[in-house]
Amino acid sequence: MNCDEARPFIVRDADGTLDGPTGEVQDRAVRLHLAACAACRDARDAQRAVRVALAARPDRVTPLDFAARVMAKLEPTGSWLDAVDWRAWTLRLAPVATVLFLAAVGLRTSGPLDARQPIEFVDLVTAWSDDAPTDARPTFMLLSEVDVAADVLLDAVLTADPDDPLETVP
Amino acid sequence: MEEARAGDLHAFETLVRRYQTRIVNYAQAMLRDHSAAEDVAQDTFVRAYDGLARFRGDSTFKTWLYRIATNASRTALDRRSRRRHLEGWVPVGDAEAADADEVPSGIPDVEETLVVRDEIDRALATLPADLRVAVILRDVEGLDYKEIAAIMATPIGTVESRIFRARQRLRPLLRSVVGTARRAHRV
Repeated sequence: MNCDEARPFIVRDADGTLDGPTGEVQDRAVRLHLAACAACRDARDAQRAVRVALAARPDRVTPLDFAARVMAKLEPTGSWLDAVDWRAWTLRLAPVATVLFLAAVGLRTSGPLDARQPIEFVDLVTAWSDDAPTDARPTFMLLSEVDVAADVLLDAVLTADPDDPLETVP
Repeated sequence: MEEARAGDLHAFETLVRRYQTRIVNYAQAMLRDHSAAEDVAQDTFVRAYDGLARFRGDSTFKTWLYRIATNASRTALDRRSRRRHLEGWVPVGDAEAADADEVPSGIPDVEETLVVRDEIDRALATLPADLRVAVILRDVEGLDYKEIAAIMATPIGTVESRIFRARQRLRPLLRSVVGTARRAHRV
Protein backbone atom coordinates (compact mmCIF):
# COMPACT_ATOMS: atom_id res chain seq x y z
CA MET A 1 0.00 0.00 0.00
CA ASN A 2 1.34 3.44 -0.93
CA CYS A 3 0.49 6.89 0.51
CA ASP A 4 -2.29 7.65 -2.00
CA GLU A 5 -3.94 4.33 -1.30
CA ALA A 6 -3.62 4.89 2.45
CA ARG A 7 -5.13 8.37 2.45
CA PRO A 8 -8.84 7.40 2.66
CA PHE A 9 -8.06 5.15 5.60
CA ILE A 10 -6.05 7.82 7.41
CA VAL A 11 -9.30 9.74 7.98
CA ARG A 12 -10.93 6.73 9.57
CA ASP A 13 -7.84 5.85 11.60
CA ALA A 14 -7.84 9.40 12.98
CA ASP A 15 -11.48 8.88 13.98
CA GLY A 16 -10.80 5.48 15.50
CA THR A 17 -13.25 3.96 13.01
CA LEU A 18 -10.77 2.04 10.87
CA ASP A 19 -12.37 -1.21 11.91
CA GLY A 20 -15.37 -1.39 9.71
CA PRO A 21 -16.20 -2.06 6.10
CA THR A 22 -12.54 -2.22 5.08
CA GLY A 23 -12.03 -5.67 6.55
CA GLU A 24 -9.18 -7.10 8.57
CA VAL A 25 -6.74 -7.57 5.69
CA GLN A 26 -7.19 -3.96 4.58
CA ASP A 27 -6.83 -2.70 8.14
CA ARG A 28 -3.58 -4.60 8.59
CA ALA A 29 -2.20 -3.16 5.35
CA VAL A 30 -3.08 0.39 6.48
CA ARG A 31 -1.46 -0.09 9.86
CA LEU A 32 1.69 -1.55 8.31
CA HIS A 33 1.91 1.45 6.00
CA LEU A 34 1.42 3.92 8.86
CA ALA A 35 4.09 2.18 10.90
CA ALA A 36 6.52 2.55 8.03
CA CYS A 37 5.56 6.04 6.70
CA ALA A 38 6.28 9.08 8.89
CA ALA A 39 4.47 11.48 6.52
CA CYS A 40 1.23 9.51 6.72
CA ARG A 41 1.60 9.23 10.48
CA ASP A 42 1.94 13.01 10.70
CA ALA A 43 -1.08 13.45 8.47
CA ARG A 44 -3.07 11.05 10.65
CA ASP A 45 -1.99 12.88 13.85
CA ALA A 46 -2.93 16.24 12.34
CA GLN A 47 -6.33 14.90 11.38
CA ARG A 48 -6.81 13.55 14.88
CA ALA A 49 -5.82 16.86 16.51
CA VAL A 50 -8.36 18.82 14.46
CA ARG A 51 -11.00 16.23 15.20
CA VAL A 52 -10.38 16.51 18.96
CA ALA A 53 -10.48 20.32 18.79
CA LEU A 54 -13.76 20.40 16.86
CA ALA A 55 -15.33 17.81 19.12
CA ALA A 56 -14.54 20.10 22.06
CA ARG A 57 -16.37 23.06 20.50
CA PRO A 58 -18.65 24.41 23.24
CA ASP A 59 -22.36 24.29 22.43
CA ARG A 60 -24.36 27.47 22.25
CA VAL A 61 -27.09 27.71 24.84
CA THR A 62 -30.42 27.44 23.07
CA PRO A 63 -32.86 30.21 24.11
CA LEU A 64 -35.48 28.97 26.56
CA ASP A 65 -38.34 30.10 24.35
CA PHE A 66 -36.96 28.57 21.16
CA ALA A 67 -39.45 25.68 21.01
CA ALA A 68 -42.33 28.01 21.83
CA ARG A 69 -41.33 30.31 18.98
CA VAL A 70 -41.20 27.37 16.57
CA MET A 71 -44.61 26.13 17.69
CA ALA A 72 -46.08 29.61 17.27
CA LYS A 73 -45.09 29.48 13.60
CA LEU A 74 -46.85 26.22 12.92
CA GLU A 75 -50.37 25.96 11.59
CA PRO A 76 -52.26 23.03 13.04
CA THR A 77 -53.36 20.50 10.46
CA GLY A 78 -56.89 20.56 11.93
CA SER A 79 -59.32 17.97 13.17
CA TRP A 80 -62.78 16.69 12.29
CA LEU A 81 -64.32 19.40 14.48
CA ASP A 82 -63.26 21.96 11.87
CA ALA A 83 -65.65 20.32 9.40
CA VAL A 84 -68.65 21.23 11.52
CA ASP A 85 -67.49 24.71 12.42
CA TRP A 86 -70.09 26.89 10.63
CA ARG A 87 -68.01 30.02 11.15
CA ALA A 88 -65.11 28.50 9.22
CA TRP A 89 -67.44 27.39 6.45
CA THR A 90 -69.09 30.82 6.30
CA LEU A 91 -65.76 32.47 5.79
CA ARG A 92 -64.60 29.91 3.23
CA LEU A 93 -67.84 30.14 1.22
CA ALA A 94 -68.06 33.95 1.29
CA PRO A 95 -66.12 34.38 -1.98
CA VAL A 96 -68.32 31.80 -3.72
CA ALA A 97 -71.46 33.56 -2.50
CA THR A 98 -70.12 36.90 -3.72
CA VAL A 99 -69.40 35.51 -7.18
CA LEU A 100 -72.88 33.97 -7.44
CA PHE A 101 -74.51 37.24 -6.35
CA LEU A 102 -72.55 39.30 -8.87
CA ALA A 103 -73.39 36.82 -11.63
CA ALA A 104 -77.09 37.07 -10.79
CA VAL A 105 -77.00 40.87 -10.82
CA GLY A 106 -75.13 40.85 -14.13
CA LEU A 107 -77.73 38.60 -15.77
CA ARG A 108 -80.57 40.75 -14.49
CA THR A 109 -79.15 43.96 -15.90
CA SER A 110 -77.90 42.59 -19.23
CA GLY A 111 -81.27 41.11 -20.30
CA PRO A 112 -84.58 40.36 -18.57
CA LEU A 113 -85.47 36.75 -18.06
CA ASP A 114 -89.08 37.60 -19.13
CA ALA A 115 -88.79 39.00 -22.64
CA ARG A 116 -92.31 40.42 -22.76
CA GLN A 117 -92.22 44.24 -22.88
CA PRO A 118 -95.06 46.42 -21.52
CA ILE A 119 -97.37 47.73 -24.26
CA GLU A 120 -97.64 51.49 -24.50
CA PHE A 121 -101.12 52.84 -25.32
CA VAL A 122 -99.75 55.24 -27.94
CA ASP A 123 -98.02 52.40 -29.79
CA LEU A 124 -101.21 50.40 -29.69
CA VAL A 125 -103.27 53.18 -31.26
CA THR A 126 -100.60 53.88 -33.87
CA ALA A 127 -100.44 50.24 -34.86
CA TRP A 128 -104.22 50.00 -35.10
CA SER A 129 -104.64 53.20 -37.10
CA ASP A 130 -102.09 51.97 -39.65
CA ASP A 131 -103.79 48.63 -40.25
CA ALA A 132 -107.48 48.92 -39.40
CA PRO A 133 -110.30 50.13 -41.68
CA THR A 134 -111.30 53.73 -41.08
CA ASP A 135 -114.73 52.94 -39.63
CA ALA A 136 -113.53 50.22 -37.31
CA ARG A 137 -112.14 50.70 -33.85
CA PRO A 138 -110.24 48.41 -31.52
CA THR A 139 -112.03 46.61 -28.76
CA PHE A 140 -110.10 48.32 -26.04
CA MET A 141 -111.36 51.71 -27.24
CA LEU A 142 -114.81 50.79 -25.90
CA LEU A 143 -113.42 51.04 -22.38
CA SER A 144 -112.72 54.75 -22.78
CA GLU A 145 -116.04 55.63 -24.41
CA VAL A 146 -118.75 57.18 -22.28
CA ASP A 147 -121.90 56.44 -24.24
CA VAL A 148 -121.27 52.86 -25.22
CA ALA A 149 -124.24 50.52 -24.86
CA ALA A 150 -123.98 48.10 -21.98
CA ASP A 151 -124.72 45.03 -24.10
CA VAL A 152 -122.03 46.05 -26.64
CA LEU A 153 -119.50 46.56 -23.87
CA LEU A 154 -120.42 43.21 -22.28
CA ASP A 155 -120.17 41.43 -25.60
CA ALA A 156 -116.79 43.01 -26.30
CA VAL A 157 -115.40 42.02 -22.93
CA LEU A 158 -116.68 38.45 -23.19
CA THR A 159 -115.63 37.80 -26.77
CA ALA A 160 -112.46 39.85 -27.11
CA ASP A 161 -109.25 37.94 -27.77
CA PRO A 162 -106.80 38.87 -24.99
CA ASP A 163 -103.82 38.06 -27.23
CA ASP A 164 -105.03 40.42 -29.96
CA PRO A 165 -105.57 43.87 -28.51
CA LEU A 166 -106.06 45.30 -32.00
CA GLU A 167 -109.12 43.18 -32.69
CA THR A 168 -111.74 45.50 -34.00
CA VAL A 169 -115.36 45.89 -33.22
CA PRO A 170 -117.88 47.31 -35.73
CA MET B 1 -42.91 10.25 15.71
CA GLU B 2 -46.12 8.67 14.36
CA GLU B 3 -48.19 10.96 16.57
CA ALA B 4 -46.34 14.00 15.20
CA ARG B 5 -46.98 12.75 11.66
CA ALA B 6 -50.67 12.52 12.47
CA GLY B 7 -50.64 16.25 13.28
CA ASP B 8 -50.20 16.02 17.05
CA LEU B 9 -48.57 19.35 17.89
CA HIS B 10 -47.60 18.25 21.38
CA ALA B 11 -45.71 15.27 19.95
CA PHE B 12 -43.96 17.52 17.46
CA GLU B 13 -42.98 19.95 20.22
CA THR B 14 -41.31 17.02 22.00
CA LEU B 15 -39.25 16.40 18.85
CA VAL B 16 -38.34 20.09 18.65
CA ARG B 17 -37.13 20.08 22.24
CA ARG B 18 -35.12 16.89 21.66
CA TYR B 19 -33.23 18.22 18.64
CA GLN B 20 -33.23 22.00 19.10
CA THR B 21 -29.78 22.24 20.70
CA ARG B 22 -28.16 20.16 17.95
CA ILE B 23 -29.84 22.01 15.09
CA VAL B 24 -29.19 25.48 16.52
CA ASN B 25 -25.52 24.59 17.09
CA TYR B 26 -25.17 23.07 13.65
CA ALA B 27 -26.62 26.21 12.05
CA GLN B 28 -24.38 28.38 14.25
CA ALA B 29 -21.27 26.46 13.15
CA MET B 30 -22.36 26.76 9.53
CA LEU B 31 -23.22 30.47 9.60
CA ARG B 32 -21.22 31.97 12.51
CA ASP B 33 -24.11 34.29 13.24
CA HIS B 34 -26.39 33.43 16.13
CA SER B 35 -29.38 35.40 14.91
CA ALA B 36 -29.24 33.85 11.45
CA ALA B 37 -28.61 30.45 13.04
CA GLU B 38 -31.79 30.68 15.10
CA ASP B 39 -33.76 31.74 12.04
CA VAL B 40 -32.38 28.78 10.08
CA ALA B 41 -33.08 26.39 12.95
CA GLN B 42 -36.66 27.64 13.26
CA ASP B 43 -37.10 27.38 9.52
CA THR B 44 -35.76 23.83 9.68
CA PHE B 45 -38.40 22.73 12.18
CA VAL B 46 -41.20 24.51 10.35
CA ARG B 47 -40.19 22.83 7.08
CA ALA B 48 -39.94 19.51 8.88
CA TYR B 49 -43.45 19.92 10.25
CA ASP B 50 -44.81 20.86 6.82
CA GLY B 51 -43.07 17.85 5.26
CA LEU B 52 -43.84 15.28 7.95
CA ALA B 53 -46.55 13.68 5.84
CA ARG B 54 -44.02 13.16 3.04
CA PHE B 55 -41.33 11.75 5.36
CA ARG B 56 -41.16 8.11 4.29
CA GLY B 57 -38.87 6.92 7.05
CA ASP B 58 -36.12 5.79 4.62
CA SER B 59 -33.69 7.68 6.85
CA THR B 60 -33.90 8.45 10.54
CA PHE B 61 -35.73 11.57 11.62
CA LYS B 62 -32.43 12.99 12.85
CA THR B 63 -30.74 12.50 9.47
CA TRP B 64 -33.73 13.99 7.68
CA LEU B 65 -33.70 17.01 10.03
CA TYR B 66 -29.98 17.58 9.39
CA ARG B 67 -30.60 17.42 5.65
CA ILE B 68 -33.25 20.13 5.92
CA ALA B 69 -30.95 22.21 8.15
CA THR B 70 -28.10 21.77 5.66
CA ASN B 71 -30.22 23.02 2.79
CA ALA B 72 -31.56 25.93 4.84
CA SER B 73 -28.03 26.88 5.98
CA ARG B 74 -26.66 26.75 2.45
CA THR B 75 -29.53 28.92 1.22
CA ALA B 76 -28.79 31.42 3.99
CA LEU B 77 -25.08 31.39 3.10
CA ASP B 78 -25.83 31.98 -0.59
CA ARG B 79 -28.22 34.82 0.25
CA ARG B 80 -25.67 36.44 2.55
CA SER B 81 -22.95 36.05 -0.03
CA ARG B 82 -25.09 37.72 -2.72
CA ARG B 83 -26.04 40.54 -0.37
CA ARG B 84 -22.41 41.18 0.59
CA HIS B 85 -21.40 41.09 -3.03
CA LEU B 86 -24.00 43.75 -3.85
CA GLU B 87 -23.02 45.87 -0.85
CA GLY B 88 -19.28 45.55 -1.50
CA TRP B 89 -18.81 44.07 1.98
CA VAL B 90 -15.25 43.84 3.32
CA PRO B 91 -14.54 41.59 6.33
CA VAL B 92 -13.37 43.62 9.31
CA GLY B 93 -11.79 41.39 11.93
CA ASP B 94 -14.17 40.46 14.69
CA ALA B 95 -17.13 42.39 13.39
CA GLU B 96 -18.95 39.10 13.02
CA ALA B 97 -18.18 37.78 16.49
CA ALA B 98 -21.85 37.31 16.99
CA ASP B 99 -22.03 36.26 20.58
CA ALA B 100 -20.97 39.49 22.21
CA ASP B 101 -24.39 39.91 23.79
CA GLU B 102 -24.07 36.47 25.31
CA VAL B 103 -20.96 37.27 27.34
CA PRO B 104 -21.63 37.83 31.02
CA SER B 105 -18.73 40.11 31.91
CA GLY B 106 -16.21 39.12 34.54
CA ILE B 107 -16.67 35.34 34.26
CA PRO B 108 -13.38 34.06 32.78
CA ASP B 109 -14.56 30.50 32.02
CA VAL B 110 -17.56 31.72 30.10
CA GLU B 111 -15.50 34.21 28.18
CA GLU B 112 -12.92 31.54 27.32
CA THR B 113 -15.70 29.24 26.13
CA LEU B 114 -17.03 31.92 23.83
CA VAL B 115 -13.57 32.75 22.52
CA VAL B 116 -12.84 29.09 21.74
CA ARG B 117 -16.16 28.62 20.01
CA ASP B 118 -15.76 31.75 17.96
CA GLU B 119 -12.23 30.80 16.97
CA ILE B 120 -13.48 27.43 15.75
CA ASP B 121 -16.43 28.98 13.93
CA ARG B 122 -14.18 31.56 12.32
CA ALA B 123 -11.90 28.80 11.03
CA LEU B 124 -14.88 26.80 9.76
CA ALA B 125 -16.17 29.89 7.94
CA THR B 126 -13.08 29.85 5.71
CA LEU B 127 -14.02 26.47 4.23
CA PRO B 128 -16.05 25.97 1.07
CA ALA B 129 -19.59 24.88 1.89
CA ASP B 130 -19.14 21.22 0.89
CA LEU B 131 -16.08 20.76 3.13
CA ARG B 132 -17.70 22.74 5.94
CA VAL B 133 -20.86 20.65 5.98
CA ALA B 134 -18.92 17.38 5.97
CA VAL B 135 -16.48 18.25 8.74
CA ILE B 136 -19.10 19.86 10.99
CA LEU B 137 -21.43 16.88 10.68
CA ARG B 138 -18.58 14.50 11.47
CA ASP B 139 -16.48 16.27 14.07
CA VAL B 140 -18.86 18.74 15.72
CA GLU B 141 -22.13 16.84 15.46
CA GLY B 142 -20.63 13.37 15.69
CA LEU B 143 -22.60 11.75 12.86
CA ASP B 144 -21.18 8.64 11.18
CA TYR B 145 -20.04 8.47 7.58
CA LYS B 146 -23.12 6.68 6.36
CA GLU B 147 -25.40 9.34 7.84
CA ILE B 148 -23.32 12.15 6.37
CA ALA B 149 -23.37 10.49 2.95
CA ALA B 150 -27.17 10.31 3.15
CA ILE B 151 -27.47 13.96 4.20
CA MET B 152 -25.11 15.21 1.49
CA ALA B 153 -26.41 12.73 -1.10
CA THR B 154 -22.83 11.70 -1.99
CA PRO B 155 -20.87 8.43 -1.79
CA ILE B 156 -19.06 7.66 1.45
CA GLY B 157 -15.69 7.94 -0.33
CA THR B 158 -16.50 11.54 -1.27
CA VAL B 159 -17.43 12.28 2.33
CA GLU B 160 -14.11 10.86 3.57
CA SER B 161 -12.19 12.90 1.02
CA ARG B 162 -14.01 16.12 1.98
CA ILE B 163 -13.38 15.55 5.69
CA PHE B 164 -9.71 14.85 5.02
CA ARG B 165 -9.28 18.07 3.04
CA ALA B 166 -11.30 20.11 5.52
CA ARG B 167 -9.14 18.99 8.44
CA GLN B 168 -5.98 19.71 6.47
CA ARG B 169 -7.14 23.27 5.88
CA LEU B 170 -8.27 23.76 9.47
CA ARG B 171 -5.06 22.52 11.06
CA PRO B 172 -3.06 25.76 10.78
CA LEU B 173 -6.07 27.86 11.75
CA LEU B 174 -6.77 25.97 14.95
CA ARG B 175 -3.31 25.72 16.49
CA SER B 176 -4.25 27.49 19.71
CA VAL B 177 -7.53 25.61 20.04
CA VAL B 178 -5.80 22.30 19.30
CA GLY B 179 -3.44 22.88 22.22
CA THR B 180 -6.33 23.70 24.56
CA ALA B 181 -8.36 20.74 23.39
CA ARG B 182 -5.41 18.35 23.79
CA ARG B 183 -4.89 19.47 27.36
CA ALA B 184 -8.59 19.09 28.10
CA HIS B 185 -8.60 15.71 26.35
CA ARG B 186 -5.72 14.51 28.52
CA VAL B 187 -7.52 15.62 31.70
